Amino acid sequence: MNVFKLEDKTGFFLRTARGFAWVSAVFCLILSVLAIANYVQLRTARPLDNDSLAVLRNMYAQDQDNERLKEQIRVLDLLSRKAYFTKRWQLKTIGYLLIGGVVVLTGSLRTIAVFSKQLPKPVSSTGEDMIATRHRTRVALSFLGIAVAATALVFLITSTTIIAYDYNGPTGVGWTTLPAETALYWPSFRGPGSTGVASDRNPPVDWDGESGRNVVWKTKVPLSGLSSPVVWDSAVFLTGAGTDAGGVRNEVYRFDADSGELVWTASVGPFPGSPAQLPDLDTGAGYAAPTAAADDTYVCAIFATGDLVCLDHRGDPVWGMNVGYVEDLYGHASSLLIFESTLIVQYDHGESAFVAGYDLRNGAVKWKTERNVYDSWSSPILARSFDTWLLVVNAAPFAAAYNPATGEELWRVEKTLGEVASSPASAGDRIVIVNQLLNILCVEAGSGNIVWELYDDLPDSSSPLAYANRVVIATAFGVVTAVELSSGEIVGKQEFPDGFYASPVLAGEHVFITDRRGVTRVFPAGGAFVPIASPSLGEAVDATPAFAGDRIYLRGHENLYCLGENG
Amino acid sequence: MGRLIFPLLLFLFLSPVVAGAIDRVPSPDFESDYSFPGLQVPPPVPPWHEILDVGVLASALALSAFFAVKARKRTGLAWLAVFSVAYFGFYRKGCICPIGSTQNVALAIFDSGYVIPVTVVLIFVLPVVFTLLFGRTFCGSVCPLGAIQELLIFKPLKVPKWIAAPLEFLPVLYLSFAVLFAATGSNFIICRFDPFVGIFRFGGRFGILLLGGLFIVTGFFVARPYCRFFCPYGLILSWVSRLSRRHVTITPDECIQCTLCENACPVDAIRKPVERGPDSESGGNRRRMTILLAIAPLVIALGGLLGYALHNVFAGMHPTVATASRFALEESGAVEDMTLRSETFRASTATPEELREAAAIVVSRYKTGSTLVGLFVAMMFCVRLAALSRRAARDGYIPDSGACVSCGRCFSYCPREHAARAGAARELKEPTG
Repeated sequence: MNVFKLEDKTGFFLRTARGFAWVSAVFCLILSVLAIANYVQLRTARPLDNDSLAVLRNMYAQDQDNERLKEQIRVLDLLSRKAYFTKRWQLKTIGYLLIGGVVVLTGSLRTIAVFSKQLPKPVSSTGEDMIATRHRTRVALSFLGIAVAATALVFLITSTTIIAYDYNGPTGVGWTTLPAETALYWPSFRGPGSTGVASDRNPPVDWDGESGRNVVWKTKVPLSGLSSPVVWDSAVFLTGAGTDAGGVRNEVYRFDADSGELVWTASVGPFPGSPAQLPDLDTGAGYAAPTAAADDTYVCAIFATGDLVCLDHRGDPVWGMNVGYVEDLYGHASSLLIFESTLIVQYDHGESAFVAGYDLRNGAVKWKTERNVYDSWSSPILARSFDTWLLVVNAAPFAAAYNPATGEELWRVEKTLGEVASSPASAGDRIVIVNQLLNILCVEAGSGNIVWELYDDLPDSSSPLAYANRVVIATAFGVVTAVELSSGEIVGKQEFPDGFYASPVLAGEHVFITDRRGVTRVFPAGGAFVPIASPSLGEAVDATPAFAGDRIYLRGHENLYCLGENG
Repeated sequence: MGRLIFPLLLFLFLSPVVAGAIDRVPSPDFESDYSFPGLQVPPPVPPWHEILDVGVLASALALSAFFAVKARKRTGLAWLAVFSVAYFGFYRKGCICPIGSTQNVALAIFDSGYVIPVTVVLIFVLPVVFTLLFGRTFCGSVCPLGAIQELLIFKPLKVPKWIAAPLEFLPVLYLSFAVLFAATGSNFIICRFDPFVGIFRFGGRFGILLLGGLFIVTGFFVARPYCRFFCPYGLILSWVSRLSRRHVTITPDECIQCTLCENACPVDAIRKPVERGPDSESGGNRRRMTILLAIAPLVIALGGLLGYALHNVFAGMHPTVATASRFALEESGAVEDMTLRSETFRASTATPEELREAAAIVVSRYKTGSTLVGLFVAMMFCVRLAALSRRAARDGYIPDSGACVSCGRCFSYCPREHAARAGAARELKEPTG
């Protein structure tokens, strides 16, 4: 006798399968929620970054003899790790249970499908439905096409993480580095790129000009000037100028870097357009304030008369011209800069202010960009923004960035004021711009957008130094400030009896700032902003020192010094 | 032959032992209860095992074609699906599969430095050949991803055409990007985002397991969601299937248009009889087609342009470009921390200039690849729109040769099929002669 009839048997399997399906579905759902919650907890739990542990560790760092504290750290660390690995085990177990649940659920659903299968029924459909369906489908597909295109455009606009590498680089400067030799020597005002950063040098941090300690040599400079030394290989170049009955005498000097011997003196100009007489500039910047610029073949110099000259390393003239003399209050002071085979000249005077690029080989004008600015005495620098070089120039009422190969203006920030003599500084993707009357600005190199702004302790003619995450600013009234580059927060401040005209320089692991009395304040590059040495030259100084190898070349009012370990 | 079966089986079951013997370097013997973490990729197999896989694949394809086209046995196809899930899925852990082999082939075509194994070529080509001959018999019961979805179907709901059509365009995008990233040596995204690999390997990244779970749950009610709306290899097979010599049919002989099979197909691949439409509809279709043909070149050109414009974005998928980008960001001070990638580069002997140059080469390749992707996607978009303006007359219920996955579910719905089986059964009981 059959206990079950066929229909009863089918019904029994169906009911049983439905029951199993419901139970397993709920079981799987609960396990899924538990798994997700467990996973989220696991992701956020970091045994090594436990806050309580961090506090205890800090306490232990200051009290390392505390055994009880040590034991507390061990216990908490063990608990934290146990909790982490327990969660991992739980997640694994949940996973296996979930697999089992899904298998039961699938089997139940298949059983239901088999035992509840019904006979198919005839269906009717009309042609009108098809037409409407196709129309809706076309619309839906078109919307998809628009959505895909819109998404692509959004990606295109918002993507900022990919650097464009033009393999054949049709436009722009492209990813360029300074030639290795340029980075090795001191080719212009404030060194490579005019940034004041030469962390690969190894200069002395102590000397005494009067006694001669660590003074390798000392040579009198024939004519005075505020220009700074420039070093290329074994040559130290300097400029000097003065007036006599014949008018202005402009000269370029080459000294031997090892002995200090004056190798040659080159008289410059006057070139057509050069003024016969100049106003008295002795109380201003003087007649030879701009620093020369050199590469492996040429050395270029510019003077207050507007005379621009290019010499070879033997002192023979290659080309020369007058860039157009314009009388100004203090005399031209903007230093020269060499970028690849282009000589950059910033000449912000009067109504014909400009920045230009000249061909080093023959003086031909490669590009010239007019600037609607007031007189300025700052010097241009090279900065980097991702894969391009920028030529950054400071003046009032704006500072601007240009393409050094074409002179095209890339951006400007119109927030400067007064008589601008400080040059910009650059580190990472930040540029620091200062002016005496208004502010210290930190802007993004790529866009010129202002990141932060300070208003106190503004320098007169000294240029700021920026490196890593620090900016160092020295003022004419003796205050030296260290600021965090990323935030603008002041991290250190020192006051000295004498002011600074020379600009701070990072050389090796120290920052060197020479005051007007010739005392160099030496700070460590990082850490507490406290001077570790104050060597004295024994002579007034306004020029910024040059650093090459393990030597410092420092120009006093009368002499050129070479400082280094001399036993 | 019978005498060889036992040794053959013995050899087969001992193969793991043989494979294990290849590992000549023993693992360190820890004194604590430390246990080694499980492998994230399947361990390598001996060469003969790869040949065996090809053989099993070919055999399964032949069986599937036989059950689908010749014998018309849904039961056979279902059990073959179970075998495929067990062998190709859980035993071989879903690797290497014909879907992923698409990337190997793409890389081999565009990178002369990559030598593709013959077995991988065969794994890619065999399903294509069978599809050309018999339709998508691979998808029905041989592909492990298709098979596991096949076994999960519970109560398949009909997806409205206007929802299904845009979703069915996703494989075009997926295939385009899979080929692009594989050809440039950037990534194998098909393998990386395989939703069922975590199930086959009983473990994996949480995101992939979650994705697999979503596909499983969806698969209960929307038949074969991965096959229909994502599978890039299925897209290739759908094109080839349209040229197939033979194909699964619903009825074993003529269609009597009883409409019983209209809702039989869980993937909605059955095409209904269509009469020639009214002249107004034909006129509308012609107008639409004319407009589409006129604007298609512009749309395709725009697609190519957009693809080109995005080449930098796509190039970021390549590890060299990603490293170079990250390095540049760190050097410029835009970011403070280092990633493992940039840290590894800094510890290497390569110079930034070398990295830049290598990245530039990759980016230049992406210019071409991305443009082609844009052109292809735009062209496929226009083709899909054009297909909606065609109205081909049909005088019976037939499976769409591109969409039908040869699962055989429709056989039992056809009264002609039942009649044919009954007739065959009578012939068996009452032999003639």
